[in-house]
Amino acid sequence: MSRNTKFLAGAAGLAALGAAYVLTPHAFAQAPGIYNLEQATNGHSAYVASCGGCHRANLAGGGDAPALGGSGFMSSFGNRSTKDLYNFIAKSMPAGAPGSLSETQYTNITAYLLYANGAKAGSAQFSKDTNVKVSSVADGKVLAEAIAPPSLGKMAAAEARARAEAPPPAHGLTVTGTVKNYVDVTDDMLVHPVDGEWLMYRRNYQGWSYSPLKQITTENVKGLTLKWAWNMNEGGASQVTPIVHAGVMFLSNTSNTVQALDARTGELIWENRIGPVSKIAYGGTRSLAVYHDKVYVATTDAMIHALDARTGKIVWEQPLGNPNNSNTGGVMVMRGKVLTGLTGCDNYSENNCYISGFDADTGKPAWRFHTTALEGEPGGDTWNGLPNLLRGGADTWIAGTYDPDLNTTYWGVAQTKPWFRASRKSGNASTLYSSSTLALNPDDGKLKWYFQHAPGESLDLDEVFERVLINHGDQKTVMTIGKPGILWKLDRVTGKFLAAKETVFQNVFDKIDPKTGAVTYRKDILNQKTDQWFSSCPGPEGGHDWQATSYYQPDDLLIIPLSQSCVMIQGHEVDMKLGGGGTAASQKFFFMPGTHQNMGKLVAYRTSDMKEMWSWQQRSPFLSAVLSTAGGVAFVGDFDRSFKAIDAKTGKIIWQTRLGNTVQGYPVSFSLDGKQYIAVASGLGGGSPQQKPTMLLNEVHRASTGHQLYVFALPD
Amino acid sequence: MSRSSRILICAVAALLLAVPAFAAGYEAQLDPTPFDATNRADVIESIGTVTATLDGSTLTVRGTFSNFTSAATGGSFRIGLAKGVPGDAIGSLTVEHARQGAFSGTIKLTSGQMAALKNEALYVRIDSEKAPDGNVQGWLEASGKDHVS
Repeated sequence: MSRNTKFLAGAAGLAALGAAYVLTPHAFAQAPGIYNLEQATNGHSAYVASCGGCHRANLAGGGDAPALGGSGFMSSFGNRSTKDLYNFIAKSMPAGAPGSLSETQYTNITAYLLYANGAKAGSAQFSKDTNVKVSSVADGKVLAEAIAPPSLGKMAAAEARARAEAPPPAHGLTVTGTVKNYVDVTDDMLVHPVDGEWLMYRRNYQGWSYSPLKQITTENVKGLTLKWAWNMNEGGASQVTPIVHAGVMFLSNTSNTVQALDARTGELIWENRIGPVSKIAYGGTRSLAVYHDKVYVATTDAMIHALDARTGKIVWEQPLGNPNNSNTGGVMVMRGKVLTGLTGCDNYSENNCYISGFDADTGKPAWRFHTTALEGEPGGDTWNGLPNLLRGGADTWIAGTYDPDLNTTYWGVAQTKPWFRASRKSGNASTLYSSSTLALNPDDGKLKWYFQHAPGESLDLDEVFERVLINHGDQKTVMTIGKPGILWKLDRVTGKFLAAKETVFQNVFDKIDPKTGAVTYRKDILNQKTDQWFSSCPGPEGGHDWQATSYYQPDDLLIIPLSQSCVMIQGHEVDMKLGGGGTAASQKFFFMPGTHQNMGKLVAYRTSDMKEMWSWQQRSPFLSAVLSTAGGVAFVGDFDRSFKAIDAKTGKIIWQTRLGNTVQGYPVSFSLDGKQYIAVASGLGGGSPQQKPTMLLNEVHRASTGHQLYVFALPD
Repeated sequence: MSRSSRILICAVAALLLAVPAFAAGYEAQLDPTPFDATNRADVIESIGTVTATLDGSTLTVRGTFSNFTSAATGGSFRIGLAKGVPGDAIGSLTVEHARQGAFSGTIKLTSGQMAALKNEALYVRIDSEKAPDGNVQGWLEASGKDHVS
């Protein structure tokens, strides 16, 4: 879709919001109305603004956000009271900012959800004390007009007019300028990055997040001072990796905005607000890529764009998927191909999920590898006979790594959707290639091998995260760790299982075969039914999540940020049709037993023998990746805003400072004019890694804004 | 006191001190039971501790709880499929009817329940007026287990 087309689509959307609809009183005519249409109308506006980004305009849910319409909603709330429903929303929503709306907005949203699920409107005013069983007034039959309604009442009409008359957000190349002294990025530079640059997601193709810079040491790190800071776009989820090349920092903001900053001073050179504007909670683009004279960005509307690195102008753009898809994992460039994954595959759609390759110069699509094995293709018989339409999930929301010698790229694949096999009717089928490591040829996308870590996964325990490539003599390994907290080591030539290590308490698997790596699920998980509660330790926050590891090469240490929390989780029935599915589960939260309520754990494993070398725990979980440096210092930040420098060899905390909000994203190191810098972002938004500590850590208070970049260095 | 009497007293004292060495010790922190937004305020600040001694097949527990938002109403020994997995009650505890207080209890374990204790699948749960299906819970672990390395 061109920029003009997207602008027209956005304008049409605004016009539609201003149009007058008439709500149709409907359904469940026997029950008395417990809300009025004006409340539902205003509730729809509030829902669109504060809830629809996660739960979707059609109420189908997505990612960690459950369905709020139909059978999913009725499974979660049908047997509960409207007072419970109100309290649930008012006390936990919007995600990451619970309680931030007014009581009127919460009552209106509740009224809208009741309306959308078939409850009859009346003259009564719904209040926080209205207390009837949801299933006594609603039947879960979602009406089309409930999804794109209405504008009744003076207040709603005024709101709609105001929205329609408001200027559209700034769009396109909003700050013009030219990067001077830009040097084209070559293949050799990507294979052998110079010490002072950060050219890709995890700095090198092997995914180490290790900087060879050593000006900042364990002795002097206490002297770090702030050199410059930069306020980034608010809204959405910010989990940024700054990319640094030729003295320029390329920065991806939420709302799909790319900026070029002078890395010495923080001066803005150019800015392209590609759009669309991010919706609440989701929207973080984790990594850009630079290659030749272009910067590549995959956006949350499932598009991929190539920008002129010098000016920020769009050179080419291509669609990645359908309108319900998204991309948060970002891109990698390998041998002239831009590779990227796809997410937002939780609702049933006709295109399934895949990894794509594009020609870096022209944008011409080169290949697709379907991560949901399709009917009639290899692995296609592992879905219990489900048709392609009902093969949800297997998203790829973290960018892959690459071995230039083997010409092989390694990607993690997320779990099947809906989360529960009882919901998706897949029986005990393995549902390839979900929860797997894939080894692909980046030239043509052909599969070299796969290893499935968790066949038929059921509890939202992704194995999608970074694949770290480490050699031990002649042995070439790929290491990864997923939400169950199991650190895996595979032979990256063959995919053969080598070793596994449990890094946090887990109760999902009764055993892991030490020879094959095959897991055995706890028996109640195997015998699951919908609408039953199951314990999951860790839960969807993960023992490990997107906050990536760092390989501290001098001591062969993989430094891993871990989280410790559990859930009771319950899968629901879903609509087995186009647009149905979703994640389809409810959750309750609890601290992980035996942790003394320490949600954060930092640990270092020697990768040669998988031996734990040091670890410690703290109350707050870590919401940043780890960066390690040749100066012997590792950096990591947490939910409670603390950014720490750690002795990589011992784990001892050497220095810490407090940022404006949660330290969230991927810290990097670079050097200019002989000075080493550490760049780190604060951020909000995201799924379970934000939600779980928000619910469990009662004493942590955070501002409602705070997407910001901080750049530290030693004093001049 | 004669020397032989002192030796006898010391021997008895040594024997008494030695008894705990034959009794295995267990402990747990009691944390809030699973909650969502609707009942979070009822349980989130609640906490407690429990210590336990296994003498033969007799498990004796003592513990305390605090920061309840309503009075405790009872407690139970419970076993699930694994640590962290809720399960059925196998015995009851005597619990102070207050927002903070003490509890205790004794239960004779079957061989299967002994195995569950060894596997850390045995836990205690304290209920309250606002949280009748559990306010705090804690899975027993062998004393001295390294919680924070």
